[in-house]
Amino acid sequence: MNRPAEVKQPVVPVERPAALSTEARAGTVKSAVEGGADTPFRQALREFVANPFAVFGAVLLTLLVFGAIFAEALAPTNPYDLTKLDLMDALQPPGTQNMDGSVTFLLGTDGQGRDMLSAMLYGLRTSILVGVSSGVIALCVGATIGIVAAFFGGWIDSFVMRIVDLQLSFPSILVAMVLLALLGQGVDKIILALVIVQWAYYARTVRSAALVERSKEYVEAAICLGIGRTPVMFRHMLRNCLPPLIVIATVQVGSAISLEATLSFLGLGLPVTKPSLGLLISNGFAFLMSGKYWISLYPGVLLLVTIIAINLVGDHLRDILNPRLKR
Amino acid sequence: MDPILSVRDLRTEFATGAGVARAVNGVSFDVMPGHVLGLVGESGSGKSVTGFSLIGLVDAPGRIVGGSVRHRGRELVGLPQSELRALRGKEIAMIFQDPMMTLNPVLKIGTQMIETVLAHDPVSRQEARERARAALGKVGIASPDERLDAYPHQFSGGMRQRVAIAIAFLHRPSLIIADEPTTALDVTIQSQILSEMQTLARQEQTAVIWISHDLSIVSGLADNVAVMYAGRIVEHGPVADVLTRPLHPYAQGLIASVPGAQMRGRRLAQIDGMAPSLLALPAGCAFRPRCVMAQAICEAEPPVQAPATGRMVRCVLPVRDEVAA
Amino acid sequence: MTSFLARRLLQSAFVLFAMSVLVFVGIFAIGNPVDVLISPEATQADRQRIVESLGLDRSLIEQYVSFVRGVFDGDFGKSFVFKISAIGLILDRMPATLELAVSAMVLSILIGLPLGMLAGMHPDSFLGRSIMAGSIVGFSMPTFWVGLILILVFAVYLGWLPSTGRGETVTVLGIRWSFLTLDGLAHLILPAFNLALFKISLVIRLTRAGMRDALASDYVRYAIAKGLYPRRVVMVHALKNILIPLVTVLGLEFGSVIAFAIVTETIFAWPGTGKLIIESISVLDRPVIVAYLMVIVLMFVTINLIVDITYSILDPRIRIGGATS
Repeated sequence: MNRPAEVKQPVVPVERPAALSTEARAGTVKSAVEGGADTPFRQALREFVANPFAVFGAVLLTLLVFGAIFAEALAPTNPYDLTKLDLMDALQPPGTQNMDGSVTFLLGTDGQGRDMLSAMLYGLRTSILVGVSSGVIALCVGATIGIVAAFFGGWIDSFVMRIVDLQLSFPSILVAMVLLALLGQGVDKIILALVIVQWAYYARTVRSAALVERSKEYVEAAICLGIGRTPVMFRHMLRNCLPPLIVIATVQVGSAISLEATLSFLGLGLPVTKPSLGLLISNGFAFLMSGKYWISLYPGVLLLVTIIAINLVGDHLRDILNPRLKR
Repeated sequence: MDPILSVRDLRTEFATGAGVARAVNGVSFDVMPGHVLGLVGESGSGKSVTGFSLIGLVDAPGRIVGGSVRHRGRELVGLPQSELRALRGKEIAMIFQDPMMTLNPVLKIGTQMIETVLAHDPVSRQEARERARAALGKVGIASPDERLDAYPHQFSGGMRQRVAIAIAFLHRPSLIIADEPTTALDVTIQSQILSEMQTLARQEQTAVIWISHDLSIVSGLADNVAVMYAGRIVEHGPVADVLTRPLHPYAQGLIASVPGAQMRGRRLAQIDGMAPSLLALPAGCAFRPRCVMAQAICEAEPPVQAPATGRMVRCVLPVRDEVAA
Repeated sequence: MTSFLARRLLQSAFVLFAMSVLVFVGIFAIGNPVDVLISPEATQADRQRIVESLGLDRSLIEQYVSFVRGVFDGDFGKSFVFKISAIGLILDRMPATLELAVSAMVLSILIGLPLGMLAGMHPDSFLGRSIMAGSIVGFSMPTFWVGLILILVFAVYLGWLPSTGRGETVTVLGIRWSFLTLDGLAHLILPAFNLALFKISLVIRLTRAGMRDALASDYVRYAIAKGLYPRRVVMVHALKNILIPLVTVLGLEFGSVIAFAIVTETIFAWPGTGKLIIESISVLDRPVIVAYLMVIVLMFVTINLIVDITYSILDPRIRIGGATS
């Protein structure tokens, strides 16, 4: 992922408009109109960085991913080392110290005396892992199917699109629920279920973008030049389908994380041994009524912040990459 | 006789991300009661924005930044929206280019006519409908009663434009601004609509500003013609004079590019190059880069010359000989 | 129109058949319900007797055929757990779910439409930006998490509203309703708002986008040029064009509201179908799961059909286009 790179260099693009306008003033009107020296990527990057909300989302997201990757190093305790748990520490409010005073539970403990902060970092890792990997697999499957459908057209296209339409007419949560009821619990199972509910979105997006590309002359030209179908599809056409694909991938990863949390909350997703944020929230639900809010609240806030960060980035990517909204 | 509309040094700008576009850059003209002014220019010359600016219909990021528009002596620039509203459709009506886009697709023709009546006159719905029906009849629409209950897409292009004309004349305005109203139509329908407009305007003593890129349409219709280029009027005068003896090189080019009977067999003239971007206008005369007669002096602001009464040209070239010839 | 209807009906029937096979085979593959239903202490003979009484010893195809035969008699089998008709169980719980879902839809329009219109009319203002930021937050919040927060704030800390059950109900037309009593209404508010929140964000976004498109359109500019009051331009000309896509999307979203009701019902212990299906999944009560899914599929197919037909009635262009083509 090149998102960290996007965040690290906000200084350079901010200077670019000034440089561009001197160029325009120097009389190279043509390059100013066509955006000559500016690659589409740089231009998109510059627009992205110009929006404070988008930058905020991107920075937040980078921090969260960092926290998830280095959960072991950052977490004060290992929440799943059963030998370290002490039931005497259970249900302590935020800021309490443990029995021997060696650890402070910044965000309190759950029903088994687990440090919430540590459990949340591990949970965040599981949530992001499930969301991103199911998103990536669904993207590969969906993009392949979509581009093949657009390239060949005819009955292949209408067959694929029928299935896509049928699947998209059912809400993903329902499909995922039924699938998980069939498959049982497990990280691999939930990823599979999420791939099955997501692929159709990618397939539809890529197909409609690829249909536009298919009708362009360079595709005919590439075929006439004797370049095989596969490179034409996956090297040439796919590259031009990237902008909508990037947008939908961002949004989909966010909704996959949300969906996983919902399913886990309903007790349908992950096993208790590998809790995601959703399962942590679910565990705390029972204590909510007695005012022990922290067990549910903090993992919930973290989940929310993660999804909002992703959506902020996705939302502005859509504004930038969608040519319809451009004035 | 006092002009019905008097425009002086009108300036409208669009602040875009790439700079300020001066779409209307110091435009002045008068329209006499019952007269037709043809406003001619290429797309992007600022003729439509001029039309919209007259009644304060410029959308953000556009803004009228200066000048004056007086209607019957009353200043319209800077008038509050509520007073402009009372004026629009009542005193100054507009007809747009494509009635398919301007008539609301989900409202019946009758609704769109009746609401126009009710917006300005305190009459009953019944009476408003009666007036709408009469207006449709006047523009030659058969069985107007049924047509009031139809939707715009059930009309042909020419019929829709007739409806737009009927709406424009509903309040017997003193001025109609018609923005390329026949451009989207077939040629045969075009001439029908033209004569319809002409007859009605004459009957009702309505002044018309006819905005068009088509010189041949304007020539048959207008009393006066103003040629716009890059946000400015470069030539203005009685239509017969301007057509037979154009003074500005751009106007000359425009007229030479209109096919005519006496030119049979000859190659049509054309003006080389493209209209300049309003964001990057050349210094001095904006037409200079395309002008066959351009000289070093054209890099300075061109002077406004008035070689004869009612005529105006914005060019450095000496015009005495031309008019004398 | 008739052939359109016939084609859509045939399509719907095919979808129903395909889904019934998928659902049945899928559910059949779920682990053995006998293990869940029968206590481990039961003898082998007891076990055998129960398996036979439930028809679980027969082959998949035999079970499907007898299932389909039953379906045509309105019989989806008996719930393993409740020992009563599965479809009866579903239909008994359905009004509660529908009440919740319809309340949520109404809330989403009542709140989302005005906010979306404001955001669309002032996209760059602080208000417009805040509404959009709020809608991103609304989109981002998982339904179950919002439900939790609502309970935490309004039930646990403030103690204003109850958080479980339907409260006092009134029986009208043989069905119990919550919204007719004050207590029932109090019970309905939190779950309905919980379920609505995501749709509110959706309505805001759709309305805002539609509003921006409409306000930039030629027909709105024309409506202003006719001198209509701004109120009429927005509330009639713009709004009517926005409503068509909005109604379509909301109609299609009704299915997803029913699906997400599963989450809301679980959190607020709302005795509807969603709560039932989660309980049935955890004890592998096959007939109930199958009956639920088939009812949902039937509902979806019907909604799609109704939306298609409504859409063609609402939009005059589609209606005529369909008739002439």
